[in-house]
Amino acid sequence: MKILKFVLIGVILFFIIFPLFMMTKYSISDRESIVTGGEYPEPFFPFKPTLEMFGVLWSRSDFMKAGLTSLWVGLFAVAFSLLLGAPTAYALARFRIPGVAILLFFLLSVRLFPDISAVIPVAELLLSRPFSLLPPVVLVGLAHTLLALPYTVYIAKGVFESIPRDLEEQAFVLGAAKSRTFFKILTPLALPGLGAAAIYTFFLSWNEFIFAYFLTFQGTETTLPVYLLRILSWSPQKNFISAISLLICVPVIIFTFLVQRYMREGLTAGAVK
Amino acid sequence: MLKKSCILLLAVLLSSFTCQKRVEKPEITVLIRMMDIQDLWFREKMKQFEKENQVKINVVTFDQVEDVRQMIELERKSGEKRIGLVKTALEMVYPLAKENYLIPLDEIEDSLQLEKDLDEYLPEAVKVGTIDDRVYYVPRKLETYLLFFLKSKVKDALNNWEKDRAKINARLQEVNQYGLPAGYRLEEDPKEWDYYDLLVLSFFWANNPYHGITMPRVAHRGKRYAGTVNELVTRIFQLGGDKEDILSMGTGPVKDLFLWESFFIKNQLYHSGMWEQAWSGGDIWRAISTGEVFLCFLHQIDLFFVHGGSDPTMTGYLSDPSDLGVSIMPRGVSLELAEDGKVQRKGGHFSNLYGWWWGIPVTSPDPELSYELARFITSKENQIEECSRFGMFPVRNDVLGDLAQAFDEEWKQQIFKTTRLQFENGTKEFPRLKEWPQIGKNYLDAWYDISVKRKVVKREEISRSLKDYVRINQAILSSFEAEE
Amino acid sequence: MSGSIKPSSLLLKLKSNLFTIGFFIPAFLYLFSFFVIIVVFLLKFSFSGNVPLLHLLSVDEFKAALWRSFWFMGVGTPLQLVVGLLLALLIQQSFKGVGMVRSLFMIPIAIPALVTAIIIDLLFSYPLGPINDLLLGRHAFFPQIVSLPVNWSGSEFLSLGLAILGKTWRDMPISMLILLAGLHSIELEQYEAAKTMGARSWQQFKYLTLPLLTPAILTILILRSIENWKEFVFPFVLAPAYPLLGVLIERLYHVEQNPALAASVALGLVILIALTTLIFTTITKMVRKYLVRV
Repeated sequence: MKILKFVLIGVILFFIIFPLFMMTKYSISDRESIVTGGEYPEPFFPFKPTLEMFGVLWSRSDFMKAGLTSLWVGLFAVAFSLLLGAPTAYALARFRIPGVAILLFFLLSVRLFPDISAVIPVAELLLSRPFSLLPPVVLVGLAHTLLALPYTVYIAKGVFESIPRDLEEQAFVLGAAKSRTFFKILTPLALPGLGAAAIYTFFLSWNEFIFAYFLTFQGTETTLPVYLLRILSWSPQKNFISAISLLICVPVIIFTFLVQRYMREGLTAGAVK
Repeated sequence: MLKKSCILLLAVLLSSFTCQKRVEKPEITVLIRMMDIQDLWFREKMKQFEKENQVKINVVTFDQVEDVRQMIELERKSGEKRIGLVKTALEMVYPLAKENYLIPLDEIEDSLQLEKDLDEYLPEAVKVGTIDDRVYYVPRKLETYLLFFLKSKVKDALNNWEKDRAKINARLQEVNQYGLPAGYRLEEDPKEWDYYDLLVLSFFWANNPYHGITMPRVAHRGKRYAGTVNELVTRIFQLGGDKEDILSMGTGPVKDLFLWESFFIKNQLYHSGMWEQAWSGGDIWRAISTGEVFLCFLHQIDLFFVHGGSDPTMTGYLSDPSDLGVSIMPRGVSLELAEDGKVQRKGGHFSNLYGWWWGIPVTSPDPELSYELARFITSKENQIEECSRFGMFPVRNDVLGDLAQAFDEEWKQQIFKTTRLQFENGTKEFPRLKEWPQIGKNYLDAWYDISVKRKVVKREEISRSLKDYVRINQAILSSFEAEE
Repeated sequence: MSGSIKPSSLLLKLKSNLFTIGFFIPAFLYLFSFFVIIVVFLLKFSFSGNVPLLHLLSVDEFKAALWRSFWFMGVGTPLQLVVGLLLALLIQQSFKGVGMVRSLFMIPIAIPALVTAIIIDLLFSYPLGPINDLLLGRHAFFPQIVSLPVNWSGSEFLSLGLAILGKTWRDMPISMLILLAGLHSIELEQYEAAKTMGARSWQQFKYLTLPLLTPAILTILILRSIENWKEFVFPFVLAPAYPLLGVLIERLYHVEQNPALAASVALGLVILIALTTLIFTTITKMVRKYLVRV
């Protein structure tokens, strides 16, 4: 029984790792390993591994620009959803608001709306005046805030609930104004948790495709996934697509390991109750 | 209070974005659509132009060739002036000028200087950009189809195809009651090939295993876009058709086209990815790299990418680049034979002529600057650079006059020598109408219906099926005339 | 709690808690205004077009896409449940290295869906790609299984199958986590009790784990069916020739430039999701009642 279990774990791990291995393999493949002309099967490890494609990407201004765009969109979404979401979460955690459960449910239910349906009104709105005057980075950031906000509120609410109430009350009794309490006392305590919410938001934005695609496909500033799709429309070779794909994935994989606990909370938000 | 500060912060953030743009330099936007690396090259060139002329150039990419009309229209309605130069595909050359989206060049540059400037370009290219005797466009590039094939695979077919002759005859008898034309043999010289030669090659490859797999090895584009329309229309030219045939859609060459297409699809001579995966040009390159496609029509630029080597990301798509074979287009002949076994109708080795031009829209904030920019991109140096890197067929007389300076490598020269030969053998343009995109769509619908879905190989039935599409074409055209 | 507060005192409380409301409002307002915009736009657009919502079913493209989406949902949902359950059961009990295994099980969700879809497309390329090379026996270490290469994107069945595969692969950590939480809420004593009563692991699973896990399973069925209805990226990349509802919306909007019809389909999708959720919640309620009675 135990052996069966570990064999099963092994098989599943293989299925998880295999596609990622293949992506990595393609990204370091030399010409002979991908252009076979059908004469021999593609090798499972390149004949002569090369980092050439990464060098090419490093020197490609369009790739770097897309990377920066992704970064800025992510940061914008983080900043905006924390600014909006943290106070709301605090209010939900601390004050008795009638019908709080319904409100919470409502917050989360916005996310049950299919992205592909929601994106049409959002694109029609944001791509018309006056919003269209804003830089694309902000537009996509606004859309990603919409996606991330419910999670931010949910995670942050948990964070605030875990901070003992007494602390604040003491500060309050000592005469600190409420807004100062909020910033001076709570913020340092909540920071690690909020940081996790921020990372979660950032990578939600980093990975997001549908809204970024509808909002920026035409323009020059696109996020990395949209850049990848655009490159794909020119049918590039496998090594080139894989190198881009790999570079998009690496930061997310690393951070997933680091902030797993909060990832889990975000992913299962509202589901367990 | 917190909310207020949020908004303030946001406002500052936003204004810092817009501040960057408030520079007291003339600023124009260029609309383009180019391959990723060509796009990069172009943007680098724009930086050079910005520096030399103290201006600001914004480069915006469009997706479909028809999009430019909408983009100019939106701008015109908004009353703003930003778009100053538009890369215009052949099918949009006429509509854009006719619908007053563009400024004729003689309103920008004085006529003497303009004439002198235009003399630098290939007359054929200038002619396309001239509408109602006024020049609206600076030429950018011309392209024709060339026939791409793998030399080794053609050699193989030449040596061994006879063993399949009986099988081919059997398939053909179903349609032309005869088989291969009387006295048929597979031509050794690709320049002499006609449709029956393509059929024999396709059949041989599709019915003999390569690398352990037997499958069709010939393809053309199949995605619902202009590229596929161009390939279909080119075949009408080759089958002896003309603009009138294309527009009427009910005449002999059009029926011949659908007959051949259905025959190829029905007998599994075309790669099914064409319609199942809606292949565009890039998909065909990939199919070439996995040995799925041995022969197809490609443009000059495609051939450069398939060969590879003029940019680090141009890995190429041939396991052996020296196997790249290029020739002029095949001659179209009718699938139907006369009683003596001769083909009933013969066409020619035509290619359609395609290209891109630079147009200056009415929304240009500075038409003189736009014109200067168009001249800059098509200067001798820039054109040579672009042609030798991306396989563009030049439109400047001084570059064409001495091909060796632009194309140092043998394979590049081969491609452009063949292009010249193709020009000598004939190129035709598809009808220049504002409604062309709609007619193109009608052809795609017809191809998907008659050849892909129903695989009709009976001429009478094709005639019958085409009637609906003829009617649609007539409706499109009559609404066009009404507007006139 | 809220029931005991009288209206007048509620008002007082609200007044004294203006600060609270000030805190609460920003995020709520942001989400709420987008919600209203989305709903109003969709309604307005879909009624401005020449195909009213109710006549959508007469559009062939819509019918085909609806049918495909239905199958996508119908096959994908149970599959994702089973895979999630398997993963959760494997790491439910702690063993040396369980944390590491769990972390590795989490990887797929970190990969952007678009990248996953592209990798799958590369792996299953036709006629020659890594998978077909294997199946054709072109590698010495693998037996030949098929004699002709499989045209993965050539048929509706296979290409949508690939899309389901991709979706399942990428989202398996989500189902796993929810089920894991459910499993952990089953108290250990219950297992101990079962063990002392001599129940074997299969019986344990069947009579103890499964019934107690039912709420989590039902949750997954609801969430997964919604996710599958609205799926876009995987079929967009892997089965462009056989559009699901999501892909159809994109095509109508971008390629055919018909925002009105796109909005109608988008609204149709929302309604479908609402209906599915309603049906599943009703079932959940019934099952819960039944469970309580047992």
